[in-house]
Amino acid sequence: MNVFHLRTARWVLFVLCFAATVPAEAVRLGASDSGKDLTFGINGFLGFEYAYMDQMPVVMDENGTEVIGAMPSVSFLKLQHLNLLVSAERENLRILINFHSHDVGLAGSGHGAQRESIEVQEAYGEYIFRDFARIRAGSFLAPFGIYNDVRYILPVFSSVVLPQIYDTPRNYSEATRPGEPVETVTPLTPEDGNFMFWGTTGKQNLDFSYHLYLSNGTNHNGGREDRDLGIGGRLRLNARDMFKIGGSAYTVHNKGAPEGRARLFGGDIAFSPSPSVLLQSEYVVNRYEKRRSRYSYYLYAGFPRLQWLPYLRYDFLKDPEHLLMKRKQERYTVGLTYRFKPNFHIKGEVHHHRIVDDTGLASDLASFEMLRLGLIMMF
Amino acid sequence: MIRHMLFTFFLLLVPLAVRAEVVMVVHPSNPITHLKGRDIQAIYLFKKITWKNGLRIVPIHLGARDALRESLSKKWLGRSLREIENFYLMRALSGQGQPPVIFANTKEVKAYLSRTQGGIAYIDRKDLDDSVKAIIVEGPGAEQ
Repeated sequence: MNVFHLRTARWVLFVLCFAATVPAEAVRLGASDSGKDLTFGINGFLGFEYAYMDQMPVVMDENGTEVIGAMPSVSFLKLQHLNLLVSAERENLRILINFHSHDVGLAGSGHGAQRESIEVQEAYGEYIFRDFARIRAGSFLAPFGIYNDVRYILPVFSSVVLPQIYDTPRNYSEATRPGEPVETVTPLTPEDGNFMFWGTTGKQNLDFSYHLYLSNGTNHNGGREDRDLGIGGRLRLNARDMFKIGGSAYTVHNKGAPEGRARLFGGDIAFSPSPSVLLQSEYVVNRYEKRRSRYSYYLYAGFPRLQWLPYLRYDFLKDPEHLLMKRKQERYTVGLTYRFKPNFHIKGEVHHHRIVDDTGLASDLASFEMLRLGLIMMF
Repeated sequence: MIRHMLFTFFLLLVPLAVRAEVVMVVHPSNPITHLKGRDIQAIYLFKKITWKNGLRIVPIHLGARDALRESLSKKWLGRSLREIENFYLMRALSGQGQPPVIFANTKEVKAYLSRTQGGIAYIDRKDLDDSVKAIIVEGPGAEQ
């Protein structure tokens, strides 16, 4: 991914986003009279977040040895996410560039490392032959589970295949560096995709979508490795927009990765018996040649009614190779979103965390709370 | 008293008399003549994005407060205007594609459609002319 550190550019992007915060009709720029119009679209979002985190257990490095320590309680207010999607479409060709910046600290007691950068999170071209035959090339979020469908608006939707992760890594390759000790929980999703063949087909109230993609592997510096080819796929069935079921798989053998070949599998299901009820669940397991498997799942129930969206959620994660997560962690969430305009959302959620195996842990580290409030402006 | 009742009755009839009749229209060169009600929904919700000849479908909308658009949403899309707007926004934010083209009035819609081969729009039947081609929509719409 291209990352260029430019403090002023970040604020230019911020101002652009803010200026363009208009209702959902999006910002579209001109067209020609040739009959083959080129259209531009600019969309994005800004997300402000306040968070209070209880004292919590973390894995620390003490003289070269990993130990479980305590991170003191913190609170902060920050501009968490800032996204701008710029796209151009001409007949069956589409090009998209997704600029992303986050962790713009504003105030608070504990915002440490900040990324003062704008990055190109995605950049790809896509050609549509038919509904069921499309190709995409460039760099894009690999379709794996429901997660990547909603990844752009994380402050609105809880993270999905990122259990217990609150600060989204930019992409898998940034977060996972084979050969390094596992100190933090990394995403359970694949690297970004580079070439994809995909499509949808449907009949009456049933539609089916498929994705087949290739991606470069990741080397120990977090960079991309052309020789380590990753292969992935996703299938999804949608019945009347009421019942959706999907399955995802991905495999890669990253050069020099101590865990050997990685195989990622995921399953997801969503059921919406009425417009005011959404039940959703995802399960994902990462298997490795030379490392024990880790897995995670969540259960979600949302009850949208007019501008309100109350929801409940349960998350679980186990990673036998992680000093803390091998004890298994649960997270219970109660949340409420209020959409006072279609493109202005305010959201609050309370998390209760519990370390399942608390042997040897101080009681105040075995369970802890977190409060998050977010304001999201979309355009 | 009877005069008052008659007057009220005719006042009630006025909105019925002026209610617009929604007609789906495409570019005159488009060979399509019929669509099913569920196709309209699939097109405006971007589940169907190409015509049979491979040409990309360009759904065209009127502004969110337009009565014709409300009729379309109710009759064929099966969702409220707010839900549709939210759907388009989320779709755009997840990088799946731009929202539909939106115009302020039927005149602009016809002008755009007449130079966009893959276009599809809805207008009031009284505004039909040779610059666009009306198609027949068969089968149940979303409201049934």
